[in-house]
Amino acid sequence: MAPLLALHEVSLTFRRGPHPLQALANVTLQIGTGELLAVLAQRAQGKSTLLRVAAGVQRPDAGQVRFDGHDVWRQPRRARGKPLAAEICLLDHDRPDLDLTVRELVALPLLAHGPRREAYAKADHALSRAGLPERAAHRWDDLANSERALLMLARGIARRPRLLVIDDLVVGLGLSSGKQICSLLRTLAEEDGFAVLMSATDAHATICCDRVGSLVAGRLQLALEAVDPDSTIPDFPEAPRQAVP
Amino acid sequence: MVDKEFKPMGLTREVVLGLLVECPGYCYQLDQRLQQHRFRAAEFVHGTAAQAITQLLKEGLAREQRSPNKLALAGRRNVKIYEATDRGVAHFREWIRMPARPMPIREELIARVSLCQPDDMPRLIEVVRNTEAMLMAQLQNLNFRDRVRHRALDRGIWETQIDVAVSKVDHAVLDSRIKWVQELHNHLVEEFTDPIVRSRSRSRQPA
Repeated sequence: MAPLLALHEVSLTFRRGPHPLQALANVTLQIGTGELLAVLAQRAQGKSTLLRVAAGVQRPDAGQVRFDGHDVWRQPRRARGKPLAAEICLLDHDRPDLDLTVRELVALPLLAHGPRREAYAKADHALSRAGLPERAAHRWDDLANSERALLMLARGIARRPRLLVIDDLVVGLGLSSGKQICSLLRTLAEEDGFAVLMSATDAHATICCDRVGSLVAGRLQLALEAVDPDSTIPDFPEAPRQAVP
Repeated sequence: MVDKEFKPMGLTREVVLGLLVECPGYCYQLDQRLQQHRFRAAEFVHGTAAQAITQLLKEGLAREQRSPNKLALAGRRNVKIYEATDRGVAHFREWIRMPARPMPIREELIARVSLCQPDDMPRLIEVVRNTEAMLMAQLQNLNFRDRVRHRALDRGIWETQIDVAVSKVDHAVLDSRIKWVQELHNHLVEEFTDPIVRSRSRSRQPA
């Protein structure tokens, strides 16, 4: 079966300013329906750029971004924009500019696509799935950090995309809050079939994920497959030895 | 691979003794328990328990069970069931409470980096990348095991609490190793690869 999202040899260099900056270098990854993949990276290694490229928001210099078998950047603009926005939801932890209630913030993106009553019904359902129904009437400033992350997730759930692209939603949260969000993501993937591509800065934030990769200087290194699940964490392992070319 | 110099000596012996303190058993069963235990040690392969038992018997920390056991009664008379002696139980309790050894630190990679020549660098970057991939695989497996154990319904409160503690520590250890290797990788890439990548560090510096 074709993967839901496939990036093949994707590269992107920012050329503004005196020094060009290579944000992504030959990144290849695939993610299937219901699968959770985390990209573990420190700051300024290209993870937000990778997520924007994966979400079809940023065009790469080279390589292919295929969603559901179609090359995203080879499609005409009209065929690309709206359908892609409905299928992929990019979430980050930026504060929304609007001073609205939690319920309104979740319903807002839906109002353009259907009747008001339906939009609010979907928003209520999403808030309930995210475990925030009692905060529906509150505003952004009233929420704790973990609740803000859940609110962003509820905005994603309400739109019912096939792929959630999440930019470090659990950053700065404690272990238990992070775990709560991870557990919700796992449930969404298993029960609703969402695929999730997320970035993280700490290992514990990847606990819900089927696969993990490391991004350093725009280079993605996915986990080696077929390691024994019963194995322990040895001391720094030796990399497989190969002949030096 | 764990460097022998840094391998905690006698750990296998103590862990097998700990299993015998929990509940007597025969070698094959102890091997199985070792593999399934939350301790999750990769070095415990088939036959590990037998080796440890031999040593424990010599030291008088374990003995063959004297009372008739179910397996022997069922006709499998060659099955020997072992149990911890009183001295073994006391030794194990003492071991549990003794001060921990310093953390083993793997210095080989950093030693190689500090001693390498310019033409070694491409290969070293590859080695660091491979190390990163292996750490990712370990993290992936750790996540998988945690999810499986989290769903197991037959765990008691004590088991659950210990699982959470082990999982948290495992993640913290892996996290620090991953960050260490990522930092090394990033530095090597920025300093020793093509000019466009080298500019990453410069472009981030304030003008």
